[in-house]
Amino acid sequence: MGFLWSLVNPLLMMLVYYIVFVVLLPTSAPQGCTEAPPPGANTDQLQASVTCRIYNHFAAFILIGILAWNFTGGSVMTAMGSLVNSGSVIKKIYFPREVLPVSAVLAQLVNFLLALIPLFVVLLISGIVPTGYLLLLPIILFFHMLFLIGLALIFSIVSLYFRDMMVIMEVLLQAWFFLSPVIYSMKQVYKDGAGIVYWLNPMASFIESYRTLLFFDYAPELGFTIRTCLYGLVTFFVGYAFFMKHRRKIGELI
Amino acid sequence: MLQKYQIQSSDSKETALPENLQKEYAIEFENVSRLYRLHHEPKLTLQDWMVNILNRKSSYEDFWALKDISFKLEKGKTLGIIGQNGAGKSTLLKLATNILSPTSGTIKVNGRVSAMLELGTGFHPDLSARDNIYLNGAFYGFSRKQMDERYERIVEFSELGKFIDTPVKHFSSGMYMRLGFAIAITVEPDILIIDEVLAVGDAAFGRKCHQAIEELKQQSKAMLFVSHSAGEVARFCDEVIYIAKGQIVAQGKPGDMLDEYIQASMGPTYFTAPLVSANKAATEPEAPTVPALIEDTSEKTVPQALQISNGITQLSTLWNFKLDSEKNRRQENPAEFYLAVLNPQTAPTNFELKVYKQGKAGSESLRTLPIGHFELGPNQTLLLKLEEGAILNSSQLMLKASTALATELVSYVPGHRADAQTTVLDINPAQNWYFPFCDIRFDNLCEFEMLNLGETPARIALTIYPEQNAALNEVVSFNCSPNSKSKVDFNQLIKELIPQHPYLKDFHGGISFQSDSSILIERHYLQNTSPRFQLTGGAD
Repeated sequence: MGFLWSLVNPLLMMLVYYIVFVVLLPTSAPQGCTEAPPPGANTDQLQASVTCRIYNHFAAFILIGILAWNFTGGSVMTAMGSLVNSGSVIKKIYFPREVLPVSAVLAQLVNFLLALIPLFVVLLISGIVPTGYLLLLPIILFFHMLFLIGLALIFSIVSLYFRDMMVIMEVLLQAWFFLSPVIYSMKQVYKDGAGIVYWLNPMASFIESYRTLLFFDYAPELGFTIRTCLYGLVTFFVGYAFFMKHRRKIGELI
Repeated sequence: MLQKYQIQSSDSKETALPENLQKEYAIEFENVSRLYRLHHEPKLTLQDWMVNILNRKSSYEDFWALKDISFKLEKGKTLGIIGQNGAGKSTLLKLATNILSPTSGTIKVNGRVSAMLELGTGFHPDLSARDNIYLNGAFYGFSRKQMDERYERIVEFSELGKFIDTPVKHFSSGMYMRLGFAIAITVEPDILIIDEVLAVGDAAFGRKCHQAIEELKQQSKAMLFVSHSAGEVARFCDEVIYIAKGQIVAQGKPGDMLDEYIQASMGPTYFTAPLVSANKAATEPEAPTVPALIEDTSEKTVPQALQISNGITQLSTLWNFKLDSEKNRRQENPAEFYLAVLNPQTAPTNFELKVYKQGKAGSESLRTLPIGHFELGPNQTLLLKLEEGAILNSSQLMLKASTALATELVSYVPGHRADAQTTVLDINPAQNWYFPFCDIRFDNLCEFEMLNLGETPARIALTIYPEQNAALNEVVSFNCSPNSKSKVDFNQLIKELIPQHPYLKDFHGGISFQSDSSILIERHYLQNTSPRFQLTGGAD
């Protein structure tokens, strides 16, 4: 029962955004567009077909973004409190401290994996049948997790120095949420600037990768995917180094 | 699963230890120091930091919680750490458990450490006791299955029973301690670290903990032990470090170190607790004479286990007792020492107690240490229990009173029957005899043997000074024929008196004999129960 409850939030969120963007603010997608671009189509025609696919399956499109975002936001928030809230244990017993932020991320990962079940249901209802690209999903998931562990390690320490970091972080996460393509597609908002955004915001890359694999059924671009994975790897190592550097101070800061 | 870790500060170079020593060490500290930076305006939040960004001067002072601490704890030994609050004891333990890192110096820990720091061994307040048991097990590297095997033992030892599913935040500190200790000893530690926690539990659990610690000691586990209880330190520790202001002041045998510490810090009444006070009411009716109790018993032999002693014939204002230092070495059953004081006068009096202790090891000089001042009402007896700390390493106990008193030092070894002691009859016959300590309960035996060496019959009056405002004047008086030996079975006498004086049921107090001519009196007694139990007996 517990795990079913964890699915309620993303599904309700999906419902809310569906109502806002499809019922209240209908997008200007052309009626009667085709999802399959004509053979030898130019960029505009390709873009039009993408927009059309998003429009036709908006619930599925948005749910992928929400799930990926919940994984990220949830991990950062719970990891931030992981050291601070375990003061009573940390002060009394020694164990590798990194266990706490890492386990916070892993708990969110379990939620995310469970939430994939209703996602596939929604995808199938929308008429999208995942293809062989699905096999690449674990790779993206793994590097997304590394990325979050890196962040968790950093922010768990930062919140020890600044106890009111949580308040700031809520705002920052809200901003990050709107800057990431959770409830919109990259092309729709950033147009030609999308390339730069991918560089600046790793979350954009991760969400886009999930959508490529699950929603659009494209073959993911090799360069793009490698860069996304590198983001995860680098963040992980930076976070780990940061944590190890400050690890010795945890006992006295808490 | 052996947990091995080495903590080394970044700026210290590892010194290669010669491996020629045969001894294996569980914990090694080498020149360990720990610095705390005490900020006068701590900046714990982003808000503080932002507000203070213009005001850049940060005022702080450096505080060395520990400075140049070096010691080695051998496997199988117990090291005690004593010192006042804030001396750095807890910091030292936190360094040993790797919760804090040293600012400089090297710490080596060899083996699985199980620690009880302050209260509770790292419990998550929102989790139930059951979950916390498994969580702690995980911290010590046990799988769920391994903890299943230990779970029952932990619950049984902690006696938490139905509270096992209660979140530990609702626990009392005693329950916290029970759970923590039960876990700490069940995870098969190589090194047990205990920080001043046993004081929280009740007496019964304290005893259980002490037994568990003894067992771990027998399994030759190393222990680091912080306690303010001199008794515990003396009982468990092989060596003691005395810390003050973050530095080792002295290191050595528990007795020496406790002395050092007591002298530096402790209030005098810390060690001695009055247990029983007995008042002799002035308006007590005349007691009946029980001549039937007198019998000639010259042919009877004294049972082996009886202890024989002479009473006090002369009252004095100054008493000195030699303390047997061998007897109070900690063993399975440490000897208990009691001082019984009887004031036969009809005026209140007071006295002070002092002990003479050996000075620093090697030196011959003695030093005095006050234990306390005590009041004693008219016709009152007082039984004081001397705590281990008062006797340890003490060679003499001195009592100085404002008026003349009779006193007696009583030693009792639980579960141990004293060998029969023969009376030394080089004592002179006297008219007045005082026996400040008499304990008639359960199977304690007490007889008085009176020897009249004179040519005339002696008339002897017996006075009882029982506890609690219920004294009797001259309970029995009887005649002792010339050149004869008579015996009073005191147990029997008390039994006869109970119908009229029910408060005599559990008698403990003093006795005196007054004779009209000089006689000799011996007390033959067998103490099978600890005088300590008088406390619980009196409370009912």
